[in-house]
Amino acid sequence: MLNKGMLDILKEKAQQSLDSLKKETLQVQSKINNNIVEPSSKTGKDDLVNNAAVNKAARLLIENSTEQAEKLIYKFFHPYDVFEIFDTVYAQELIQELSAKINENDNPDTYRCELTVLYLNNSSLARAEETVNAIENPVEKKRLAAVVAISKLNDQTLLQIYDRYRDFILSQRVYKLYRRYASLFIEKKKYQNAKEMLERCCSHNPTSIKDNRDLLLCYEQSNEYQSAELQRTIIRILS
Amino acid sequence: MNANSVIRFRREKETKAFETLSKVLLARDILLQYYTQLVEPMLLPDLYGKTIKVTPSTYPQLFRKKNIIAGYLQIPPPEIFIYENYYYGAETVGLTKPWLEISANTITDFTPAELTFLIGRQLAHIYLKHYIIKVHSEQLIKSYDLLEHLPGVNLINVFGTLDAFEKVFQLIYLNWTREICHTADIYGMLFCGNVNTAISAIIKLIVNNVDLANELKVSEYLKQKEYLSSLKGIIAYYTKYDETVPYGPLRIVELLKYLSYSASKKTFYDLKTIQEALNAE
Repeated sequence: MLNKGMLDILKEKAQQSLDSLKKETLQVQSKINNNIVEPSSKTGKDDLVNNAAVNKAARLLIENSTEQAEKLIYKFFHPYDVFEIFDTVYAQELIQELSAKINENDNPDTYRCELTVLYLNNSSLARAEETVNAIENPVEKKRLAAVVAISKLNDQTLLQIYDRYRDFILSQRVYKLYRRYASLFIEKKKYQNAKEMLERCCSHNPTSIKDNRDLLLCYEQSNEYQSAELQRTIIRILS
Repeated sequence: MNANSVIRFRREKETKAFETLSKVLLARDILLQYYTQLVEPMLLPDLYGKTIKVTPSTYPQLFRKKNIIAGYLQIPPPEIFIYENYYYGAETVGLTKPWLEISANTITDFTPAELTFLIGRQLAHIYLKHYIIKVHSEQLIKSYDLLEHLPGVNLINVFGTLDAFEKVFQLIYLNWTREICHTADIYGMLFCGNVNTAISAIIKLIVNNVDLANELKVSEYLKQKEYLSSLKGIIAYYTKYDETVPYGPLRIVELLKYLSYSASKKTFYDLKTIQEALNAE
């Protein structure tokens, strides 16, 4: 059942774990040594001191393991999707978390890009611009700088540039931008354009009754009866 | 897509989850051979001895539904077996010729349309060949358990290396199972032709009680999703990622996300003929 390839991988993993554990044990041992106080009497105080030191060492090991486990989770899974729309309180927490990660991480560009999207969706354009300026990857910097620049335009200019930059705008997955365009198109009674934006809004924020109602309006105005019928069902579910 | 072509889609997140999983899936041929030659034959006596097989004259409605869906998807229709269990459930089992197992309480407590949803989900798993990856992955997890008992190899696990490797693999695998669950939910909804039916079936699976499921206000239940999103920290992440199926609110939200687009809505209606055939008495 086992093949050589599997064994080799397992041996390599075992060696890595051993090396890591040896390193941690040495660190913990050194911390214990630094904290041990010479016993001053036979009152049992030395036991209390040693227990405290061991507890501290155990706590350090657990914290270290938790940190390593967290890094592993982040390596394989993304615990959040920045393109989703969050409750304001949680969005602020996520912003703080990402800001902290930028300072801790060797490769902070990913977090800067995510933070930019969060700032844009939370209408913090100044912060978004600041974060974009710090991005090192030239491709991502250019892309997000363009998104920030578009977000800063006034309504009239936003509409004027739409046809020229439509594909780019539609591919950026920034909810706030879609929502803004949707509102402008509805105002101008351009329901096909509004529909394009609102479908994306509903994809990012599927439980929003407002987005779903506006989408229903677009279907009704475009005589898309079947889509309107299904959309009404969705609104009834959410209401 | 027009009404005559077979639907075929996978969600992007499912594809990405599989890309990650495929990097750690080892020893495919050996494990599938082992399953085919040893594990699967051991399941058959209990299958035929302890369950009821669905035939044209035994529960003909179920027989009809699976034949219609299998015919549409152009796959061999699997057998369906009903087993005694308090809990609602339906799953695909086996490898050479996969079959469906559905609990008796599911048959009695789910409406015909909800049963279409469940059968549609399982046939989607067969159509998209999820069952092969599932068997491969589950056998690999069992292999890690067995490795510990092999002389010499068990030394590797002195420092928990095997356990750690197995756990990491499990988390990656469960990420994939959650994504295929969402995909299967969409197929189930398309076959039953009713969003409310899909949602009510999902809620019944969660709460395992018809009356409680019927009383539930979905819009209130969906607020639990906000709380789930806000849970952070290693314990919360680990608990969330240790689940085989996604949490209920997330399953319903994923259905609504799918239906955001006109193209998806069009697919919904393009399957009207199949839906009517499935829902006919």
